[in-house]
Amino acid sequence: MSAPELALRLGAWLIGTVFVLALAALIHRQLPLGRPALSAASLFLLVTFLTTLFVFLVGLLGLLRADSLAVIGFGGLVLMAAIPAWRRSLLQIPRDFSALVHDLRRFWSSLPRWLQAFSAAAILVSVLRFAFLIWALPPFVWDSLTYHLTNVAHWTQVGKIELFDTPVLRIYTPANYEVLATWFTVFLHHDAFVEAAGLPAYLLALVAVYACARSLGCSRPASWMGAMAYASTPALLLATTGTKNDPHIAAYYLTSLALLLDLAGKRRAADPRQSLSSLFLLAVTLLLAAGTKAYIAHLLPGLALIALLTPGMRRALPHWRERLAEAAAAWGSLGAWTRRSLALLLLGAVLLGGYWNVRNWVLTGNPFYPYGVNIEGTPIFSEGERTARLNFARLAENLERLAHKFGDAAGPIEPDLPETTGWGWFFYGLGLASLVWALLSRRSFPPLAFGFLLSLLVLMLSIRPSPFNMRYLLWLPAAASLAYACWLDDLPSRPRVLPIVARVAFSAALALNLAMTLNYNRVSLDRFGLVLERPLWERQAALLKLNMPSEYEHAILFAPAGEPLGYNVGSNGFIYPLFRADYQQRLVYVPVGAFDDCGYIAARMRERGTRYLFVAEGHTPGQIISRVRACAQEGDSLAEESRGLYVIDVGR
Amino acid sequence: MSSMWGDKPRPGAVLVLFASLIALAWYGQGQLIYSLAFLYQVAQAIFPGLPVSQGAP
Repeated sequence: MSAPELALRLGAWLIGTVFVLALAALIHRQLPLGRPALSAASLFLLVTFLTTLFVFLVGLLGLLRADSLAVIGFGGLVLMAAIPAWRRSLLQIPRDFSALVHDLRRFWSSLPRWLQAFSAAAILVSVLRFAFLIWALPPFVWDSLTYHLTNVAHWTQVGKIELFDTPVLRIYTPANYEVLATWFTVFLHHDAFVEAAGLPAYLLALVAVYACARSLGCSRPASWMGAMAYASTPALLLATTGTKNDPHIAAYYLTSLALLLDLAGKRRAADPRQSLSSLFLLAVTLLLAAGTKAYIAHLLPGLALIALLTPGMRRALPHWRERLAEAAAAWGSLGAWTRRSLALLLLGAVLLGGYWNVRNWVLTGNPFYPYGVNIEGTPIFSEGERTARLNFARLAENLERLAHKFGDAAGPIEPDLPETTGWGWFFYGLGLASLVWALLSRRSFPPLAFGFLLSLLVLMLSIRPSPFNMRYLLWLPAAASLAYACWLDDLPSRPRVLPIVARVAFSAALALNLAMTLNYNRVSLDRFGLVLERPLWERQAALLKLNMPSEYEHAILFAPAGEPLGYNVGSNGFIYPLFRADYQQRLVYVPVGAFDDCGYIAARMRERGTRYLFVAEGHTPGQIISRVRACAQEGDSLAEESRGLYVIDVGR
Repeated sequence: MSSMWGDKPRPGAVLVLFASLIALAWYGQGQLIYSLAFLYQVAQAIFPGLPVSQGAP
């Protein structure tokens, strides 16, 4: 990429970002929450939501290109400046910013000196770690390379959000995360920064845990330590830059929890608009989550239980009726413009929450396609390559697997969590004991713990008992972090050795959590060296030999980027690396049967407009690889260009 | 400055601190080698005389 082109693309990204931030600031002003922590969480949420919505709408219109996004963003900014009420609101942003700085200063000065120093170091190391991993490594986590990033690559390449012909049917699943990830690829038309798509979720989760701890009555320093502890959870750290959607679900779950705790704990809001704001943001959060991954539905009963238990079972109904009445009164008091704007936003959230399932329903008759749904043996939706089952046998099996992984003793914590929970030093070392303490000593804690437990049980009723299913539980360690925040405020300060030991244990646990995630527990120093020898723009997922068969490297080296590349992989095979990091490689799926005639395979390739056919060990069914190899050995229709890469019409 | 450690102390909370230390030691039995493996690799690169680690990826 030439320097002027890079500058233009970065400029377009900047305009798009300013537009989204300005819009978020405008809406944020209309949604007062009365508490700085919750207000900060809502700002992060709005930025994430509006970015996703912006990309989604532009993508549906087929305008997903850097120039179109910049033009629309610029037009949006001009429009905002032209409407007097919005202009007045925009002019208030510097004042809001000053208020934010004031709140941050107040927060910072509330921390003891040692915690200020530790926090500054932790933030610096975290920023450097994230920046290095995003900059140094291309994506490599399995599910990303099969379907998450395959969607992102196709949409970025064609400039449109659409379905396409592929054997990996999981591209049909709700894809709000992928939409957000596209924001990180579309401007540069490159995947150099796509791993940053998890950062908004990471920050949102961090702030949400802090806000939850404050709602539980914890002091600022204790709440901050709880939030930092959660942010150091290895499974979360690994997934954040692992281009997966689970950190987003964790963040939305915890944000919903923060909003619910605030609503449930309030006796009477000082400003009825605070109830409206919380309920509005709760709806937006849950809708955004619904369009990200379906298992948020399995976590909802736990949130509902917290909403019921926190105000007290007897008071729950009148309490929530009161909150709703306040919200309704506040809605009535809003100006017409504000009401219309918020209604439009809610419509956008409904669209993001429902689009994917409605589309699947219309196209396949099953909203959850490609998953069939089966409840206690009764098929509800049978169309699909996999079946989501809800039954007690599954609960037992999943709990057994969880028990086996509990303690993380079976192996290193890796991004796919095959042998461990990934909850790390803090959770097991300090969090578990704090959980017991908070359950026994804090009246406000049991409702929260029961809610988390119910979410866990309902999830375990349904998720596939695979070795990799711990990723669905990224939100769970937050319970221990919140309990720890509660416990910190109870620890006596005399004798002085007690707080000193507590500080050392906390610092050591967080440092060890971070240490094991510096290289994902997967990438050796030599491998880093090999990757860093290539310039940023030439780093390819296909060339990172962590879990990548050599066929992918051969495809990058020997298939011409200017011609469509045919491929055949199974339903769990890697597709993404074939697009190349700059998304220049057009791909076409070539269905091949194990008993197809060689001439028929060649005809299929021609019919699909490609001369090349890619297959790979471990990703293409073995019988198909054997068939294609046999055809190449016959030599009449196919020739082997390189390992895993076959070509027809060699002399053309 | 907000309260922490001592404003509303509960003596029983000390037990949690002891339990935490035991739990950290228990967790460290399984994970310490993996947690420090990469840092050890870095140390090896700086000081090539260090013995080869078993836990390195």
